[in-house]
Amino acid sequence: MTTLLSAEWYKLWRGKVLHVILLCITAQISLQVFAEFYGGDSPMQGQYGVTMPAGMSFMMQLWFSAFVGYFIASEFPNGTMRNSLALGKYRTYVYVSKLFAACVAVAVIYLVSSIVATVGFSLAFGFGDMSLLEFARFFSWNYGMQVLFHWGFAALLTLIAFISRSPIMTVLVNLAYVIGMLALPTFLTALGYFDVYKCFPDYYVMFFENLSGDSAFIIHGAAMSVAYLVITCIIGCIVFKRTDIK
Amino acid sequence: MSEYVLRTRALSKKYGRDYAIQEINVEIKRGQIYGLIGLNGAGKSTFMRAVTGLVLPTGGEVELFGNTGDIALQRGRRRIGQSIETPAIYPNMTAEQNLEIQRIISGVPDKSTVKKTLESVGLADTGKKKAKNFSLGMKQRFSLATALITNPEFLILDEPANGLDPKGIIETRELLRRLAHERGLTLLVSSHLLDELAQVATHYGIIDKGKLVKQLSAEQLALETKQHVRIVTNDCAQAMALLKERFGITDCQAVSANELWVREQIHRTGEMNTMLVKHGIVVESIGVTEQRLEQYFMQLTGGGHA
Repeated sequence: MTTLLSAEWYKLWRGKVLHVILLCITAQISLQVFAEFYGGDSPMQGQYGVTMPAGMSFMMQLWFSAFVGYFIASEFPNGTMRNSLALGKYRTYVYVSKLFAACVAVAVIYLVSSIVATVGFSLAFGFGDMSLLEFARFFSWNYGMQVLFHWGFAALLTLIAFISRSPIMTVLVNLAYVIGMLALPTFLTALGYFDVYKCFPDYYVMFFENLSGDSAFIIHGAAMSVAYLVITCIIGCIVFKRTDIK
Repeated sequence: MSEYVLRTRALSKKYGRDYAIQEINVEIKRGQIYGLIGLNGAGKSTFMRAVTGLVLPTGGEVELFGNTGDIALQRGRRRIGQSIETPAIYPNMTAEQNLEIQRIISGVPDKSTVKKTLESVGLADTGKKKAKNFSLGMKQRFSLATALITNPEFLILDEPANGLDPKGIIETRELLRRLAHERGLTLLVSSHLLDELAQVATHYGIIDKGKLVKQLSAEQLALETKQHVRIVTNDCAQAMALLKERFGITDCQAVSANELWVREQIHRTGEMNTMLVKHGIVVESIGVTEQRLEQYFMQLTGGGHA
């Protein structure tokens, strides 16, 4: 298992996928900062930069799906999935190592986005009046919770990658999911079943900014994310164990 | 320690209603170079995948190094190096980075193994060239490197010479021989280049439509493909009847509509010719010849290209 995790770690940093996505996100956030600076209607102080990626969760989720598609699902058409399996590695371990890579990537992508937003908005509108300690606490809390909530989504993405076994299919299925999730709250509200939306990690990502002080919301969100990690992992391992590798 | 590296018993894999491989019983002993021969789609790759655990058999059993059962079998697979079908590479990484990943996965502690292995397959000077820019021959050689970096006891190679130029083919052949002799490696190799395979294999398995039709050693193959009289004539049936009647020949076979092979009394070629001509049979050519592995294969599987 440790060898598989080490290999994923090596691939994350030596491969191109994560670097390209980080570059794109940096460019995207920088553009948004410029747009705000030159006439936007919601200027933000740098100290609140960590909340910015949450405000663009639709785009963040698309970047995550691009990562999972081209980092994990591409192992099937590339044939590289064979290399570890034919060495007698257990499929459960292989699956968990890929999930680990997805979770690390989510944490890194979120961290870079938060830092770029913090620096960008500080340069544009000033940092704000938080003390360093206050800022460290605010940043860690927001960052930590957002990453935890997004791990539920990353777990779902990993499962889709193992089922579709194609980078493009993974991205397309996730695009459909993300668009569906945008429409779901309105649809559920109309039907009077809004609470169903709380079963999706997207709910916690979406409302975190407004409900971050509500401990029940945080506990539910954390529990939901862990449940997604565990349940998708079990389903993914079962599916993967029955999959023939070409 | 089992003398068998690989044994399969009634190994089968079904896709829908069709068998990709059906009840395959293969036995490979330590040190053997086992050549797996078959047409495209005959089931060679599926068999190799089932042995390496990439596809899940629908029936039968695999025994590796005397071990059966899920856990022991997985442990056995750690002693295998494989290259099955298309070379498995990360396209945006260099050969060294690709091989480093394989080194980490397989838990080989010595980092210098990467360079040594690349040298052994002639890819030491690829530098920063991305694997996606490799030629097919380079990919094949890289694939061989990924199989070798784990220092395996049993090497499974699917078409290792595919895409190689003549020099590459010779180098691969020499490398395989060297691995077998110096490291005492056991090899399972499939190839379309049957006469190339014949230069290294010590044993053969011939697979056709998912079934193992023949398993034999190189010595047995030499006997089966022994010298024979090849007669090209206009009337095979009449010629066979005459050879039986006049010479008492029973080991005679029509390999095509106008070609006969006689495996007895090959020293009496001249007499056979005279006798056939006397009886009005047109003999276009007659002579002693040796059957090549390719012809033997075609004869067993009923034609086509391997």
